[in-house]
Amino acid sequence: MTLDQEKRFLKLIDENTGIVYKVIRIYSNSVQDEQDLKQEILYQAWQSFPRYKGDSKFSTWLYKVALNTALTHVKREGKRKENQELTETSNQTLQGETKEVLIRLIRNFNDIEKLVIMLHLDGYSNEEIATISGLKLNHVAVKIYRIKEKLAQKLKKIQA
Amino acid sequence: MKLEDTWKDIATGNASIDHNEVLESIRNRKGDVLHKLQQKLMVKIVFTIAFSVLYTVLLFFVTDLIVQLLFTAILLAHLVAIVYFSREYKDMKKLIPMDGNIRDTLVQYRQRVLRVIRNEEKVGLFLYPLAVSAGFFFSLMQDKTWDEVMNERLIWIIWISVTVLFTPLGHYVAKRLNRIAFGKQLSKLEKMIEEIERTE
Repeated sequence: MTLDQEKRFLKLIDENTGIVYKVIRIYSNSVQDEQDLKQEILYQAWQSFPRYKGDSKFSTWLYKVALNTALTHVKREGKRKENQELTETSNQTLQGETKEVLIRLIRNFNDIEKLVIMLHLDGYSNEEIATISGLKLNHVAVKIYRIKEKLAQKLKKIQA
Repeated sequence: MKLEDTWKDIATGNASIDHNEVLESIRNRKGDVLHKLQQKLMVKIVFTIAFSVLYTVLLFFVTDLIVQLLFTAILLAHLVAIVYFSREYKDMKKLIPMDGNIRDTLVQYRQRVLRVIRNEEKVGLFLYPLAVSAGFFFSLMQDKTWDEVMNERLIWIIWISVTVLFTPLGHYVAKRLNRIAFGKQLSKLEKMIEEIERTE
């Protein structure tokens, strides 16, 4: 690929780093695993980049690459201590650290639920989520409803 | 604060990737299951080449015509395996596009992993009886002639038994090792595909 393509790729990644960041935070087991997944997403994005013709938004395209890579990524052994961390952050929640709590709550869902809620929270419509994931449209709606219900319950429990 | 707002805040709050890190990442593949399989395949290619060299050297030390023919057959089988493994290795260098629909990508990914594993197992199934026979006759020929070997019914029975026993055993061990190495990831892929395809 040319130097121009490389510059264009770097610029587009710069503008969309949030997507990579969120996917690695949600799908990784550990800090080291986050690093591995980040590298793999960037590698796969670069390899697929010649196919990106600009028909869709780059953010949607990158989301697909990042999610597909995360779902096929072999995680390193080891797990985060989610429950312990969640209790530890209960007080932080009161101090406005809801971002971390939200990440940890989403991490507890299964891999498909994670992608559905991520795309939903990022403002994708149910039709778009169905197209990106391959899920049936009514299945998307049902999933979002259930996940949001579970999220709300857990948040309420933490805040109580 | 709404969940959507908190989520958007995550994206804008912490994300930044250094250009050097991006450049380094796009030049070095970190690895996924297919990459792991590709590395495994490379090890097999190296071993098959090493055994081919060994059989070629042994051919010069074997005097009996039948054993020579058997070793030649094994050598040819190894050469076929090298060609096959090399083509498979080249084919695996072509990445599965990761920018497609998630269900389709997962299905394609799983099929590719399964295809590589199954083909390797099949090639093994073809090589085990040949390798077992070669080893068996090579050791017998150290102190017996071909006519002596052929006239002893017990040797025939042992040879057939050993081949019949070791071929499925080798196949079973290969399958088991593949299941240990890739089974977890394959079943994860299968579960995800099932979940996407499921209708409530």
